[in-house]
Amino acid sequence: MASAWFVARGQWMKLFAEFRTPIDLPWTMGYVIRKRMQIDNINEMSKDKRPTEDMIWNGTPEELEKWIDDAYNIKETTRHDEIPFVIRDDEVEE
Amino acid sequence: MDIEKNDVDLSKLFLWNKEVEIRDDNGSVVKVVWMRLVGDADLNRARVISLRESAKMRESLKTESSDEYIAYIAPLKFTSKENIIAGIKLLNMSDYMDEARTNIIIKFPVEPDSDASLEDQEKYQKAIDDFPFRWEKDLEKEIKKIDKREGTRLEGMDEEALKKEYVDRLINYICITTMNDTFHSYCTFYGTYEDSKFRRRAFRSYDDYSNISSKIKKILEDAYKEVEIPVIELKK
Repeated sequence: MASAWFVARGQWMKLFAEFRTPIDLPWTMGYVIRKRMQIDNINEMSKDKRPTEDMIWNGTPEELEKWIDDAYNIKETTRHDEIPFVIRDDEVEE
Repeated sequence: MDIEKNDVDLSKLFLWNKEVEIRDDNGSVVKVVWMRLVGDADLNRARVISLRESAKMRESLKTESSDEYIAYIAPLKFTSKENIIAGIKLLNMSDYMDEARTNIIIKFPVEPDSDASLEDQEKYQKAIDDFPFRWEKDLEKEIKKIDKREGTRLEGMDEEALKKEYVDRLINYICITTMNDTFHSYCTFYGTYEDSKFRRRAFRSYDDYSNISSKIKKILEDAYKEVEIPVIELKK
């Protein structure tokens, strides 16, 4: 069903002409489009770094994010609810 | 479990609306409305409202003077140990199923190469077709195993601990039901329109929707279910 994205991408105007804005789109179509985009993005990763099928389809977004961070060895330095506030030395008034 | 990803009806995705006729007891059409599958914004609104309703219900079930407590929790005083155990098992059934699903390891059929012989392709399709039956059989066996294990665990508990577990499970179950019912009800309200272009909502407010007869509500909610596709099917 996710292949609908390819169909939709090719014939976007015709298929979705009746929706005034993307927010009008039925949630099922939105879900399929987002999932298709996610899979396209994952397919850009080399095969050895890709998450497992089970992770893609049944994992939570947090699990998937952690997998990708681990695959690229990205260490979390900032909590999600924090904004990094960096003051350079030359900005400090003496 | 269903793995027939090669057996998918794509057209379902585009059947996102339908005309709904509301008939009186004589079968005559008294009103025609249009039902559509809601978008992300309405879906999220319905989700937030149903979470609030579930929280309200949880609060009531924990308040000894509430009607909900008196109706659902208070009768527990007069329930026998055997019935409490049976009740816990029943309320835990979906957890048992989740656990069983995780425990079962069955290898998926391996897809043959694109240039495989016709016979190999037939064998693969047969393995795909048989997979749900093999899976169901193993699932049933695993659930029986878990049910036996849980029976022994519950038998060993004293009555106070059993009652506590039962109440916790019952509250969760009622809250999940409240959430699902509210969610579905709001989706139906947001998805019902007077016109086929989906510009004018059929009900001015949720109160208006909630005050219609339960018979009409059922017609509308059933119609909404018909345009909805479960996520498990979307994943195919």
